[in-house]
Amino acid sequence: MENELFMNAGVSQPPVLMTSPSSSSAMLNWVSSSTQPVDPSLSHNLSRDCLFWEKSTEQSIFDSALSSLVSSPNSNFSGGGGVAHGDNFIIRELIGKLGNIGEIYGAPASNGNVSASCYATPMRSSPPPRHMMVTKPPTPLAEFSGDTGFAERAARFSCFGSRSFNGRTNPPFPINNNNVPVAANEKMPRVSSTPALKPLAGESSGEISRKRKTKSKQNSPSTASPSKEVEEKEVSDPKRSKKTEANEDKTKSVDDDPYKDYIHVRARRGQATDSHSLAERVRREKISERMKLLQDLVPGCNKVTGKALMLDEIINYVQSLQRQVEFLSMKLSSVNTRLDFNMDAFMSKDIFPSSNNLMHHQVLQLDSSAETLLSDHHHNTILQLNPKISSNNTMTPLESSETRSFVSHLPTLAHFTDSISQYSTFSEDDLHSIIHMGFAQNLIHELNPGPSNQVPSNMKAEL
Amino acid sequence: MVNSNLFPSIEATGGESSTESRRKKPRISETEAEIEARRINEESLKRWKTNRVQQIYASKLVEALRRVRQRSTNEPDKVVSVAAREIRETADRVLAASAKGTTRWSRAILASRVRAKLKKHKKAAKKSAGNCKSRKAAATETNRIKLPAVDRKLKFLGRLVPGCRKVSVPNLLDEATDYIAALEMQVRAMEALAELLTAAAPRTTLTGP
Repeated sequence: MENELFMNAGVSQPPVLMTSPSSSSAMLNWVSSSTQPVDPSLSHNLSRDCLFWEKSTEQSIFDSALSSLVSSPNSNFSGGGGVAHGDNFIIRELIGKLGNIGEIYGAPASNGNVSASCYATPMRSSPPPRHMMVTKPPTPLAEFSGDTGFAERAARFSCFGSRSFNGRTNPPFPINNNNVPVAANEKMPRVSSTPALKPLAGESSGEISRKRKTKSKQNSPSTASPSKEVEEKEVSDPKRSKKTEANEDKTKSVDDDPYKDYIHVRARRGQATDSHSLAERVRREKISERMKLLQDLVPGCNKVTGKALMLDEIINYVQSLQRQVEFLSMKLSSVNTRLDFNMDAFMSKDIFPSSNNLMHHQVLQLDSSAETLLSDHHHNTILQLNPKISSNNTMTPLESSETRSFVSHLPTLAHFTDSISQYSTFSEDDLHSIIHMGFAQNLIHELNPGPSNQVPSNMKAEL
Repeated sequence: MVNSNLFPSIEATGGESSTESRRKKPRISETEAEIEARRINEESLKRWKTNRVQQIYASKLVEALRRVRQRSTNEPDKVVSVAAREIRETADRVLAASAKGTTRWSRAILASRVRAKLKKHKKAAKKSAGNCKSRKAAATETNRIKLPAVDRKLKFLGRLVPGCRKVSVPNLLDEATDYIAALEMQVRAMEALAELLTAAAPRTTLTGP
């Protein structure tokens, strides 16, 4: 990684700080440390660069490293150590072209000049706190625009160790004649605020990733997120550049790409990178993901493997549930009819024999709770019921727990005399509690296949 | 009034056709729909289990049953099966209403009632129901080429879940997930309600005057 790059350039050890994303402290060190003596041939802008590598104070090392970047963009870094000093003037030239740091750290991140290359963009992509940005002339760096390998290596060579690709390109060009302190201050936050670089980083690294991933189905990854992932992967291992497609984890970006609305998928290692097979894989994974959810839902599906068997189970379960609903509706209809009769009868109090008041009260209670949720005229009946209820103190032992709960609620009915809403809440709560009791009781029977009912289930299929 | 809650507006009828056309659009809408579907899926398993949903369903169900009862008192001579079907349909409608229109099957259930009503009017003119059945039988006869087992089952599942016959496989599975969760809740609620009502009702018959 950067270590080896530094090694190649003759530096003993790159500063560890540089690799940490929170390298603001590194920057502080850099700022605090006085400017190191550098080769007079270099402009003193370059001297700033030395400070990035805390431990590398030798200008020659810097020179060689830097010149290796410049002169041999496509060569391996192992041979970069022996570049002549004559290349320095190239560097100076470039640096001169780059101009002020104030210009370099130019316009805010929303600059759309992708073609200005990765070197222009990171300078330009400054986080909001730095307002002293001036638009940077893109032309000087245009020559680097095509040199993606250069940019990449520069990125790796970066002492910032930032995760942003373009953050790495900065160190070789931290140059400025006038605004060095500005640059210093600007760089400090910039390293730590790598996310800000990403929007523009995305554009430049997009070029690189595009060149690399000729085979992958990635299309114009100008969004930040996929390119961000590209950067991370690039960062981690330079040698992996050859295996970018294979080694990268599968990433899915469902963000709205302004250019194309695709789901970006990466091929996994050892898998076909054909666009068709990628799409097929995505589709399969979607389906399997949902099948897993269904597996959790349908009981008894854990032992079953395979789509066909699982679908069998699911179908059986749905059919059984529907049959249960049928049966219960039949049951409810029968109960309803009975209640209809009773309900009408209970409207008038005279029907009650005195000995059976309790039972009738219970049923009335049921009726009232079931029916008089929000209706007005039942309200009166309940009011009439209240004196009756209160008059009956003795209660025969009840067999059903539900009715018992009802009985316990009977005295409370007296309180709900006025507001209909109270009735509704009462009955809802009551029902709710009862239903929960019912749930508890019926939990055992719940999942059994529906009890034998005469209603065929076929009719339901035509819903 | 209160009863209006049970029967939301009829605009659900257009929902199905529009969702079908939406599906045919390219991936632009698919990604958004996918996000939506995933969200629904994650929530669906939980939303049918919350107490609040159960409460709402129970209360609405009770009210709907009451209305059905009132209506049936006008026509006392009802066959049990007819009454049962009514109640089941009411329960399904209430369930679909609780879904708040986010799922396809709920919209289909709510829309089916309207369609059934329309068909009732047309039934006098022509026997469309009979034609439907024969057409389907003929279709299955001609398509003797058996699809792979999984596809067949998926189709069958699509028929089981209301309104999901021509839905894509991942969406179908999503709908099935939600439908199963909703059905479970419905069964629980109806069981409890039936238990509740039958526990008290027999006493009146036993101790009738």
